[in-house]
Amino acid sequence: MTGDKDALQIIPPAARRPGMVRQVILEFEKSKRKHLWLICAAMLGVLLLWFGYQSARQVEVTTDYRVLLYSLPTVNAVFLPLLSAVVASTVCDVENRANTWKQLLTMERAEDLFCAKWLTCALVLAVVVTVEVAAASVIGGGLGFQSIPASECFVLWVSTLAVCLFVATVVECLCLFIANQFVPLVVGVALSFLGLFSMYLPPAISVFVPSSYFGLMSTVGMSYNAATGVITWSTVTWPVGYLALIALLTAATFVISLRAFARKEL
Amino acid sequence: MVGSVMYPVERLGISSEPRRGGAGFARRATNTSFEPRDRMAVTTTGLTKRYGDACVVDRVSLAVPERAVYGFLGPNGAGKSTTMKMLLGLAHPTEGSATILGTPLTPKNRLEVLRHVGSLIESPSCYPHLTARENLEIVRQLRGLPKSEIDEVLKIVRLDDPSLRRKRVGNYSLGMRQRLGIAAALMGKPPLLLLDEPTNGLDPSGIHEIRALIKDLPRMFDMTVVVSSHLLSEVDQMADHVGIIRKGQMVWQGPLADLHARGRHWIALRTTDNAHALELLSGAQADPDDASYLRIKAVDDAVAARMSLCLAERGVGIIRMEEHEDSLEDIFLAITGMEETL
Repeated sequence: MTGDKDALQIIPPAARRPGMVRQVILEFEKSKRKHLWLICAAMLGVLLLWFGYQSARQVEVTTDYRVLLYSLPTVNAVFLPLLSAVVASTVCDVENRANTWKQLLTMERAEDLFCAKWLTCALVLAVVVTVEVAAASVIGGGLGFQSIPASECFVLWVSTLAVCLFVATVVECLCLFIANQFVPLVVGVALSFLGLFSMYLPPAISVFVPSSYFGLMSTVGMSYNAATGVITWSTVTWPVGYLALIALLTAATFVISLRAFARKEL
Repeated sequence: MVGSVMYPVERLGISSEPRRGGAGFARRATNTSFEPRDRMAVTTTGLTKRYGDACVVDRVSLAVPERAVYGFLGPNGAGKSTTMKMLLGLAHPTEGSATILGTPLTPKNRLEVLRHVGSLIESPSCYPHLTARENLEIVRQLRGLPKSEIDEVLKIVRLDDPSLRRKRVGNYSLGMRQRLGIAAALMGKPPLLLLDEPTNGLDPSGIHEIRALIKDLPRMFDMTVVVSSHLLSEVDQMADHVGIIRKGQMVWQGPLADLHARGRHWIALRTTDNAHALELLSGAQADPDDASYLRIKAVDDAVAARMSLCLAERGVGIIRMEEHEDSLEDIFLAITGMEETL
């Protein structure tokens, strides 16, 4: 080796590479005409309709806002794993369909591409969850429930987004290593299906089911008195241990996938 | 005296051996006919890629001169694509090294080096749900190029028709997508272009068009083009330098003219009295392919004139005198020892 310093002089200077913000914008440009926002809006619409229907039946019993905070995670457990999987699959699958991995990895670092895709999914899901929490508050208010305190809205937002990001990270990992997009979508559907039953699973099992974490991180507890037939709602401390666990799992999945993707040969 | 007036064996004699070496010359010959002063756009030293026990690329030493169209020739599965992927850092060499445009390629400087390299590997990369312009806009932004680049490359590959402005690439023919892939590789007019089988799947007119474009690139943009192909005729028409790879090993490389020069040249001669002519011409022999002909080594016009005069003086009339040479395929088969065609 004559030394990189000397050799590099042969190559003329080139323009600057785009930063992460520009790369995230590029990911949105790649998803143009994939109807990503429309799909999110449609799924969110169905979720909110279900939530509204459920809440409307409860308002005759009580107007306690905790009813809303209890029922929203149950609906989330069914819809949001699938929505998260669809978002991650849409963002990542464009490269599989276009056969662009080889071309892109001659222009940008694998790590940057992975992070840009993850950030794009995170941004979309953050918007979805923000809209969902805001819409749930509005729907609750419209039905006659007490307004949800801002701090509770924040806790709900963080808890919901954390689970969505975990699912999206797992699905992104699958999309990057499996060209067949059937597999990631099956994962999304399976998690949604499990979400249907997540509230009925014993805690020892539900910690192993990602969809359960919507409910596990709820700040509202419910007890049902079979003798009187009365349901009582109570506020419980935010189980940050579960939040830490799902955040740790997300980080671990992210780091392992990132390293594997960076080492992947095409 | 009859024999003594004839031309000596070394001047008229037939040689069944190629001019240099022959069918039996070393398979792994590292014939680099380049002058030391030639600047190389790409060089590799002992580039090797193994997948488990399978050695896909075996100590390949490429030498691609600047501003050349280098045809990387070999049958399917010979290791062309893997070699090109290693040049782009998409596959990691098991052993060996590559120098691109004077810079040794390392994982650290890979992207910096590749900013000056355009590539099209295996099949065109384009988003089917976007238009050609939108596809190139993504490449433009990643490469940090001015917007005018898009119009320029679209014009070069003739995809600048206004009717295509809103057409999504998913509705393009394979040839159009291939041209778009080449356009993406041309973005920024990189000094080095690596094209892996760029005419795959194209119709005859598309093939002709792409070949003509590739041939013109060094002249138009001072580019060096490495183009892989399994088609001898294609390389013959496009390239001025050639590297032949077989079963992962480089069996020959050098200027295409040198490859052609390796072929045998001879004159097939049919006379009124072949037996007498055979006696008169030292080194002549019966043509193994056609008994009605004699075969002598190729000679220049003056020698051929003297030879015909000599035969005529001794009462032997010449009916046919034809110049023959080995085809590129014959030379390739001799070099690689392959019996089957590519």
